[in-house]
Amino acid sequence: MLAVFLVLILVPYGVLGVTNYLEARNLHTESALSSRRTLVQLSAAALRNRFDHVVDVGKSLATKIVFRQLISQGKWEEAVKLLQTVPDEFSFVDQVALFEPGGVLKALHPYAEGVIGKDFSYRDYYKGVSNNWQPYVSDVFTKAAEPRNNVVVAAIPIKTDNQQVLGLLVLTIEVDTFTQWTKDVDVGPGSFVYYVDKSGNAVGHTVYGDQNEVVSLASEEPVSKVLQGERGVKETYSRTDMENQVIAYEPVKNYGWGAMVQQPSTAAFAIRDARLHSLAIFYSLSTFFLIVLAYITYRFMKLLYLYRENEKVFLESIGDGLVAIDRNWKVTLWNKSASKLTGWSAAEAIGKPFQEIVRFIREKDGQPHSEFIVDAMKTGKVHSMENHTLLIRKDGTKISVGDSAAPVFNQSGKVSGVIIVFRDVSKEVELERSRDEFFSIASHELRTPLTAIRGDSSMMLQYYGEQLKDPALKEMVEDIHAGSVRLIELVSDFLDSSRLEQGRIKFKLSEFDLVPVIKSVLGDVESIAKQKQLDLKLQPTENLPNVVADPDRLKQIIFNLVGNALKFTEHGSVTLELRPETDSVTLTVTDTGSGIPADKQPLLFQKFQQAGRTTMTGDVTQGSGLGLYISRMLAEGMGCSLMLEHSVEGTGSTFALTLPLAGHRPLPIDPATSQSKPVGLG
Amino acid sequence: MAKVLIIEDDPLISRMYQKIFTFEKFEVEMAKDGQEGLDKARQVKPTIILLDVMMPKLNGLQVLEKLKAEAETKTIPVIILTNLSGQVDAETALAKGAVKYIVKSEHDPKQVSDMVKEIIAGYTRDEIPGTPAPAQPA
Repeated sequence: MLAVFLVLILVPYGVLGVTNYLEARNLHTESALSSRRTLVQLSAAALRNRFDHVVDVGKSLATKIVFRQLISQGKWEEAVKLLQTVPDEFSFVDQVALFEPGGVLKALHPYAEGVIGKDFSYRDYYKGVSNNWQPYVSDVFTKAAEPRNNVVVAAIPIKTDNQQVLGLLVLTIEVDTFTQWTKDVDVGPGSFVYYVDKSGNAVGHTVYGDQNEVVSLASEEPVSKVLQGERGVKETYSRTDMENQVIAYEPVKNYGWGAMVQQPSTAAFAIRDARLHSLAIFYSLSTFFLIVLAYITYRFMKLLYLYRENEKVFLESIGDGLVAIDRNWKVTLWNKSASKLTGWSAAEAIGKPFQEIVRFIREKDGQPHSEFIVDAMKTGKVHSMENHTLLIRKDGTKISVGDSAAPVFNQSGKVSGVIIVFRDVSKEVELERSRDEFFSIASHELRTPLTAIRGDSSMMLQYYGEQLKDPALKEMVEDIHAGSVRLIELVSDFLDSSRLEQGRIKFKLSEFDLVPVIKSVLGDVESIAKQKQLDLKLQPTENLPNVVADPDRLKQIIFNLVGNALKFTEHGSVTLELRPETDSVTLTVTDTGSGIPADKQPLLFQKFQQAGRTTMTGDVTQGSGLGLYISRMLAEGMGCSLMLEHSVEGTGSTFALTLPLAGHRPLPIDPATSQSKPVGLG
Repeated sequence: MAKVLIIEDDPLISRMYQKIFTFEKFEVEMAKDGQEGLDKARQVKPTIILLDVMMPKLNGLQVLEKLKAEAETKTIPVIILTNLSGQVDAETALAKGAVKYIVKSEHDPKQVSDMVKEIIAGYTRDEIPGTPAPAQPA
């Protein structure tokens, strides 16, 4: 990972850096050298101008008519007097000398001892000028006369108009003057200019060749090159300066001299080195940051990876089958338990359409069951699998499964898929089944002896009145009878609710007139109402259409409602009313009883609930607490609804049972197969 | 005198019904399983039969089928005695020709005997025991 990063990012970056560095180095080196070249060209041009000027001065003096006449007449002393002002007029001229054509010095200004009349034809300048009798600038040499300074001379032939040589005019320039001249051009920090003459002697050098000494630099490479007419710039190690020097050289045209500009490399390349230095710092820093970034990224990715691995381990460790699908129902996640339950491996499942791999069917009709997933996808809410759902495994076997589908949201809050959780509930189903069976058998077996107790005690009361004259004995037998009746009711309620919960109660729906059914219930409970002196009545209604329901079960519900009303009412009335609507009729049962506290109302239709009752304080004489629970389940099982319409504590309650009219059933249910809705146990 | 045959395997229940019908002046015959019940029905030709469903040997439904298959017994009204309301067995019994089913636990014996009297009145011309008078045991 890190290695890949290094290869992919850092190596190209490094190559780029080095290339950049080298390019910048070349560029700045070239720029520095180019400036050196320009400076040396200027210096060379400046010296050439000086020499031209000296020669021009000499020529103009040598061509003066009076001067030439005096020379031609041999009047050297008079001639030199004409030149007395020259050193003052031209500061660079140190001395003026006149020679006869053979090289013998004839006159001198300023005067010096012991040289007049001497032959100087051996001198370089004489040889140079006598070569073709053109003006000539000499090499540096040490003067014969005192002060024996180092000088350079310009030798100008004095000629007649018809080119007859009359003599020589020599203008002497002190080496110090050259040193002044080298300052004409500003060549930068630490840098200096010097010249070399035709023989390679240093002239105007800050170190070599002062007034008394002539130093030859002819052996040094740049000097030898410039004397060959080459120009250039070169970096060499200078033993004297103990450091690298950049030396630019340029020939001084027409005079055979060379101009040299020397500068320590550190100064010449100062800008370049500063630039390169910052470039190097930039690349070092950025590389460092890149590596740090890479390291952080690497650590982060590693953490992320670990986290994902952890997550995977968690998912794998979950005992329930866990499958995620996307919006197109393609499997995107598949844990180990899913493999175990379905028989399909993750490799086989992932990417496949969910329905091809996981097939849920309803136990009762074998129809595919995927509504809970569709609903989770559509509504974005968790939806549970129906009870009694089977999973068809890869090998075709079936197992009971349960659980739910939960939506997965993307970042924009939209459902991007669904997570389906399922587990093997075979054992639970088996347990449930055996519990129900136990319950059923127990209730059944309880009933027979209870029936005997009920029957026998009722017969004792009815046929042995004589023997039961003792009121205490009679009361006991009555209590035995009442107790057995209550027990039987309790067992029936348990059994009913158990069977309703399992969807094992079948409803025999038919069309019928509601009124006779109600009346028959009222007939059954009339005696209780009379006993409690309550006014029990059904408000008359005309032309009531037939309803659709299971008459026996309906009777059971009405019996429960009216029974409750009578039970909880001490004074007043219990009134039944029918309210026809367009597609239904509502039967209300209103009492003037104790009413139900508002906080208890929501619990009313729950299992084992009786308003205001707790386990410890439960008034068992009031029934099992299953009555309304069973009634509502019965009502809903046959397409009716049952609710508490209103209740005020101390004033009374109204319950409302709504039944569909014939031809207006909300759901067409085949009477033969209709079942109450399956409801989860517990 | 109306003759009632009670086919019931549970002695508690059978004795209870035996008593009530005796009190109500019926002639009572008892059978403790399906086979015995069938034999007695053929033999004594009762006015009405009370038939339990869950019994050893022949169960109530099988007995009913046989009764209804034989010319001699097929006109005898049969009342099915069950333990639970709304059982499929009871429905089947009605379909097979029983006149009524009674959930034993839901009624006192006197109510059962009243129902039996009502049915006999509708089905036979046999003498029906008179209006119940508080009977005195011997």
